[in-house]
Amino acid sequence: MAVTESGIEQVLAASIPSLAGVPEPFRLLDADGRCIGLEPELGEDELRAMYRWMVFGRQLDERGLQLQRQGRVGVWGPMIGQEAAQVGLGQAMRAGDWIFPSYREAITLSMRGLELTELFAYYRGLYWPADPVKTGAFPIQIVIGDQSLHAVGAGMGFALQKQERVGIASVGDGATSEGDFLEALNFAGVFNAQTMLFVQNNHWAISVPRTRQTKSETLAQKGLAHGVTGVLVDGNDALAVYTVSHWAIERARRGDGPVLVEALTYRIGAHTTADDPRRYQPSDEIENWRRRDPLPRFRRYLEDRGAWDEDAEREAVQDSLARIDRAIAEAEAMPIPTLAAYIEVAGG
Amino acid sequence: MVQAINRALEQALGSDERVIVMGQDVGKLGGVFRATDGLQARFGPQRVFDTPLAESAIVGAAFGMALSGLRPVAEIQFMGFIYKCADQLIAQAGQIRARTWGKTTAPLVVRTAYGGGVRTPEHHSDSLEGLLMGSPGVKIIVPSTPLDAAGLLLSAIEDPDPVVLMEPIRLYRAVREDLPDRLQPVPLGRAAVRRAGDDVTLIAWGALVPSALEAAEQVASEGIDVEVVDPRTLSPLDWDTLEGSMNKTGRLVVAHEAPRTGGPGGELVASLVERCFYALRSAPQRVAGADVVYPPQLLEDEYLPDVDRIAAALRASMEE
Repeated sequence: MAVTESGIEQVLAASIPSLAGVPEPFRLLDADGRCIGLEPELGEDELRAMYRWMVFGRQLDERGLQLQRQGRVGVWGPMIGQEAAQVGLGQAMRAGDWIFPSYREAITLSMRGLELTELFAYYRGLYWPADPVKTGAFPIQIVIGDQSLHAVGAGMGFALQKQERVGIASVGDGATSEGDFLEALNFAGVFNAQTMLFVQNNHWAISVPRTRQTKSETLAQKGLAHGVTGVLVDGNDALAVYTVSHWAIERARRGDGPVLVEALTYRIGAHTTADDPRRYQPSDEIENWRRRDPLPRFRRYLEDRGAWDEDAEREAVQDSLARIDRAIAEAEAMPIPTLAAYIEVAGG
Repeated sequence: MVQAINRALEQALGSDERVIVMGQDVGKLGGVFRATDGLQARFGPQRVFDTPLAESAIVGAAFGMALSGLRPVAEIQFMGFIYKCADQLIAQAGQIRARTWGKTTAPLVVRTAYGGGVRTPEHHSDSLEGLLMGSPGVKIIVPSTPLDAAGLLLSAIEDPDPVVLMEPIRLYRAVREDLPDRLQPVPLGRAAVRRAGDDVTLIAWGALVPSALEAAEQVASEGIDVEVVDPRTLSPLDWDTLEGSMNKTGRLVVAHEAPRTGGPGGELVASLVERCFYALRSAPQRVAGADVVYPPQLLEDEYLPDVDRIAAALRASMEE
């Protein structure tokens, strides 16, 4: 029997893999901060601390931008809009877990114990003064996506050494186009690495929109092809990000498999201080996402529980600023080593 | 030599449980050259394992494993494929020491077969040591004898930083030595004087060392006394030994398979001229591959430096 064009498609249908529909992002708070699902097992102190970290991140961005304009740090990549994704991830990690971050993760890194002074020293133009193994925070990655493989390798190593730790890579949507990211997913699956790959999809890789990175409907579905569970989560919902990350990290820790998390969020600010997003970001898109600002959303949730008020807000802002200014002063007091000293340590 | 490498891996796996062997075909097959033969059977698939076919992931994941406390020995089957993992090797593993001010290092070995002369297809015969010599943070070792291959590999596994072991394909089964029951490490960064001589310093490594020794014997009958120095480690170089020889002879020939322009010979000649200028008695000579893409198999004998070309360079160096 001859094969016709329409005939072959009918016959092939059973042999073509397909994704049945686009997943709904996992969400626990609605736009007004009302809990619409399960509430995670977090105490009031932990919830308040999470929000304080978000306030801290917002203040840190403002100071970072000022410092860059004053020539006191080289470049600053603002986190504005992504605070919930970062705080949810940071809250879900445990002591002993390792994070291999990109350059927009100051909240998560600070939550994991990286001293702010150390971060400022790096941004000032010195070096990464912290011990990555002790803090569990590896130096921020500049070559996009490379750290995915380091987290997977660490997760393979933890599994081999029967250590109950998890290696976590945090990357952006642009990184998911990199070969190293896809190879990392593949290795994570094959070796059942104790790993979580956490993608903050902020919709922009400098000026290239998410739609230009991949024809896939979601980034989370890239896990499917590699036999890795992928989850889509509302990245501006700190409770949801925490819940998903906690589940994924503990699952990986038990050796039940790596997880790819896509946190849907938005980069409200510039890529870095060297960028001009007005050239490419549509203003109505920014406005639309400003209305989904993760800070007021989480604050309303706390206020509804009676766990936050104007005084607490003021205190959080003041504490953050004091902490930031102290760290800047300390970082600026750090001596600049000689090139000879650098050659000595770098040369081995 | 391939047996010496196998024995060194076996010894390292047996004495240090942090050591793992990973790469394509290193498991059941025992490696395309059989360098890992029998290791999976002896040490199990947790410690000696095949990976997906992805060079960047092999090195990037090995780097992550090294950070986690292991001592991975990763195999990249041929050096011509190393571009695929150059970023992970050079920009990541090679730079973590500098980036963290010495607090974190990547104890990782990448074994890779290099060099021509055995009729391998395209991309299988490249000598890319020059690429790595210009990449601070990555050490490079190239053995020319079985005992050195084993000893250098043992030291590389102990080393805190990434080391690339370039294994000369041509010598895998061409050179033999009796191996002791317990292999001894050979320190990194120390050259070996393969033949002492007073008239010319001839620097060669890997598969060209046997050719260099033969060329030295050839011109010895003409009254030219050649000192053959095998650096063994190309990064960092053993300047003490190289300078010592150069100051003694005042004449220099460097032989390598890599193309001439931008090749390691240029760096060796320039540095030794800077360091030993007043000892210099004649123009240094380079014997190298041509400045072309590595040629098809049936042209490679003419491309590769051989005994006659090295001998001719030695004679030229004797002319005032």
